[in-house]
Amino acid sequence: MIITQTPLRISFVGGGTDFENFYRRYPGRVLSTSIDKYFYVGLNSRFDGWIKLNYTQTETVEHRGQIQHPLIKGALEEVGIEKGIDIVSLADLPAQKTGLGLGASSSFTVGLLNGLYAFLGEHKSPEFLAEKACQIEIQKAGSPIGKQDQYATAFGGLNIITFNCGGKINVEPIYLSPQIKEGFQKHLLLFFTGKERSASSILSKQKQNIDKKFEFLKQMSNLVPIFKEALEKGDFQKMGELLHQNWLMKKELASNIANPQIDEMYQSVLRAGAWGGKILGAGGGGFLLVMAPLKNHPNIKGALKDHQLIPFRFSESGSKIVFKS
Amino acid sequence: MKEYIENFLTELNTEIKKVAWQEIALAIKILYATYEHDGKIFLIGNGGSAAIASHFVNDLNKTVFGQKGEKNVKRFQAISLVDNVSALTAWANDVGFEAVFSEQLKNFAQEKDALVAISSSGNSPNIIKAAETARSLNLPVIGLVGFDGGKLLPLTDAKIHISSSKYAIVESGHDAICHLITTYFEELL
Repeated sequence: MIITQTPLRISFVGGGTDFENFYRRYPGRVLSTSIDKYFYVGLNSRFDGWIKLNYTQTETVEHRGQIQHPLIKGALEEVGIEKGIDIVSLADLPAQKTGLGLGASSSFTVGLLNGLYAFLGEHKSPEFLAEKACQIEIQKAGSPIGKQDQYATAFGGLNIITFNCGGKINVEPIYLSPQIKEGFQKHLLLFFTGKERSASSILSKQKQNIDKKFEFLKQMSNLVPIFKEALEKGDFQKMGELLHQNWLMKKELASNIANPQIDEMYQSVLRAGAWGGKILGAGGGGFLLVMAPLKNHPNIKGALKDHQLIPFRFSESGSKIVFKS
Repeated sequence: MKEYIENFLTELNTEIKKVAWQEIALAIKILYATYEHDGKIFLIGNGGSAAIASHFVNDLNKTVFGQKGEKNVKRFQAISLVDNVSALTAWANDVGFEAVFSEQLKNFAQEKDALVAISSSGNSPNIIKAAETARSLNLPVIGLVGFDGGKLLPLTDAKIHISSSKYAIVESGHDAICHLITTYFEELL
């Protein structure tokens, strides 16, 4: 029996520059952190040789070829397991059908791969797990996603992830003093918009638009070092304003990233005194991240009182085997 | 006399400042990640370094949380492998002194744990063997070393290296850095 724990992630600036069509022409950069909300994947061998899967649905099948879930099927093919395994997944912030913008599908894929290799008695580096997860999600399953989430969830911590034109991906940790780290976390608020969304329809559109929106994406990539500089100085207001700039550009990437309900939510947090914010992940729904002066937090919570506030903290750990027997 | 004292303090200061800050930050990250997923932190060293290991265990387990009363329920799980005389003498007597830490590690270590190995020379056989055991069990290794880093340096993930060849300077530097890490967690947690 093996259990892996893999974090979800929040990205601040640069999302969208992790598509290959973009970063082959200009270096992509994303600044993100893992948070203390996790995906857990449990794996055990089955005496009868069948495969049983428990996620939002249940599948009981005789062999790998019959599996419906594309990521589990892809991962089992990748590691070469054909049958005789139970796989169960649990998340701290479960989504009914689709994602929430916290990198959940990559967190799951990375955690599943980590567990499957451990099941075979092998230990793999975060880099290896991230790259394999990219292959399974993007190439095998055909998800129209970039590569930031696989790296963010495999490595963990607060990082700048750079996607170089040659294809090489670097993860550079950002280390903060206790005061700045605590201050950064304190200024953030995370609200659930109340809407789940289909990331793939938004991302497909965004992917098609890369040529048209190339200049925006370049600017978004260039915001990353500016955000880092403000962060290292503890200039929270500047960071909030950069989040706002990033959101205005992100909205331009595809017409369905924002919608009237999201625009209204966003405008109401600005009116209540926020510096800035963004819809996490693909957009269209999911979670709204807000950065605001501490004195305005009560106002903002009041303005969004119908939306669930999710307390969270940054985390340092990446995908980990937390139980093995 | 004044000059003699100042020379020592200046040398200590110079050598500590040469340690790459990123390596200390990485050590903090490893310890924090271990704390988050409820892993244990094992500490080992010989002689003066054994005393540093004991001291650092106490700081992680108590000093970091000691002033906070019941507020912080979750604490570090740091374990000293240098303080159990019967375990040390049993392995030393029956197998050999190089086995005293690696064999204790095998009793407790799980993949979510971490090892802090302290060795001025970086060449103590029992420390090297324990670091190899930790690596084979997929534990991250934080090394506090001196001199040229010895055989231990390449076995570590975070390399806290005081590159002096004087024990007094190396051990004083290690102790100061352990206190820096303790202070960091006292302020953060």
